[in-house]
Amino acid sequence: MILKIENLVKKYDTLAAVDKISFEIDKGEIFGLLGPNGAGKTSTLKCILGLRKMNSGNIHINGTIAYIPEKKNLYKSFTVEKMVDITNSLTNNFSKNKAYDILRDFNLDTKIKIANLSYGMLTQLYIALTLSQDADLYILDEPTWGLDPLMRNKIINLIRDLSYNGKSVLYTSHILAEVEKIADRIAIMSKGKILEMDYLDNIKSNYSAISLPKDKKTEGYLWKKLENENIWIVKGKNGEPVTIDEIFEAIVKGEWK
Amino acid sequence: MKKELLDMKIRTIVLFVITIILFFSIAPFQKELLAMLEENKVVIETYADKFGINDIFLSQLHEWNFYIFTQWFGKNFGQMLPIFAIILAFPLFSREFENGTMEYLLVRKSRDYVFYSKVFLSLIIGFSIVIFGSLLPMFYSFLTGKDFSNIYALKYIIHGIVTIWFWNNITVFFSILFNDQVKPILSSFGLLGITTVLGFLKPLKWLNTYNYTLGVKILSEGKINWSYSESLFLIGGFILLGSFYLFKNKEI
Repeated sequence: MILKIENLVKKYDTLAAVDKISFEIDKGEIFGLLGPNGAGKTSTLKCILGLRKMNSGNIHINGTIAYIPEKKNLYKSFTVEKMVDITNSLTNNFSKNKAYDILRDFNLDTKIKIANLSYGMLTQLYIALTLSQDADLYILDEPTWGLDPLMRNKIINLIRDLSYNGKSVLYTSHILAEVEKIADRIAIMSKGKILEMDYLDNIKSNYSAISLPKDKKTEGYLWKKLENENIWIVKGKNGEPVTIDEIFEAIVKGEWK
Repeated sequence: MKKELLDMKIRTIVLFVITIILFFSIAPFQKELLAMLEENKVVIETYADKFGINDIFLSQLHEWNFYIFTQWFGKNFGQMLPIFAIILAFPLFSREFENGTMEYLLVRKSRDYVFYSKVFLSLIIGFSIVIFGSLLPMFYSFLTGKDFSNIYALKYIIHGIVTIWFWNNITVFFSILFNDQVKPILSSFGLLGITTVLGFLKPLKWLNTYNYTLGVKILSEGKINWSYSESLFLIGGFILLGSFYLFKNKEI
């Protein structure tokens, strides 16, 4: 076990952004933390990193952490080359050669000033700096946001390589197709709580879609309201197979009847 | 530390250049100043009393020691020291918060390391400026063959260093408290202005740190103002401790 979270609570005044969540990540595992905006994902990550103080709960970390934040900000007055240098001076177990290899692969000019990078290029630089650090757990908050599909695939391959090398990854993304490609296990968060957590294949096989007349209800998530009937996503295999996007959408709507 | 050095490089060079410019805008011009005072003697005498300047003061300006102490330590250099301390310290933390780069630092280095490297570097640069500015008249006097009491400059170093310590630590506190760069600089200059103005009131004279920074006691009595030095040092220390606590508990 690399990371274990037990009953984590993070409040902003009276609002519980993270409400008694628990999960753990094993060595070599890619764990996807999914949820809509404001679900509490970033607050969870920041509590793990010690950037924010938790109100209660326990966080056990067995190893070193590398982190890509949601907002990728670096020092605008430095060049890419200088940024690699500075990161090398500040980071334990950082490989400059690996950083330059990744930057070459991304076709990123190292002489360019960070102020002149596009958001996508800045994200690439941040990814290169973070993945060049030898850590046990990589916490990646929306790492591919703002990147084109080709670059996204490249990054996904790099993240997969981490897992092949025995590193663990805690990953958040809004792009479910991407999570589906790489995550071993996922947790779906909404309003500070984890509503579902399992291996991806288990979640997909555990749910199916059924349609019911408007006046009938069942134990499940109300997914869509049509003219004459409602579509429910329910536990069990009696209905039509559903995708992870559909399960996610139904769960975060939160209409469990 | 390397990043902090790069961050502060330009500011440090600019402050040293300003110090040199300020020094050479007065040191070589003693004769010109005295000639100007002589030419305007009648006008000056009319207003001199109102501003507490007497004939003795004016005649003492002929003496190099008095001239350099009042015009350099007591004016050009002294009045700039709190401003230099504020300029050095205001962006230390607030720039990282404003630009969203504090996360980058804190996932790589401990809060203690980030705090100490930023604060100590700005203090070291501030102290270096004080020492440089205090030694300047000594070197200049030596090279131009003027007789200068070096002990005055050495005593002034204590006043200068304590001034930098005090105003640097106050500004560090504001730099951690606020998440943008404008508020720390406004708060620090505001506090400097308020304490100076209130210090013009006799019962609140102690509030005006400029009386100390300009080395009034060194010039008038030839002594370091130890009690004020200790007070500013202690208050500055407590403020620095408060800043450390604030930074350790700040949510990013």
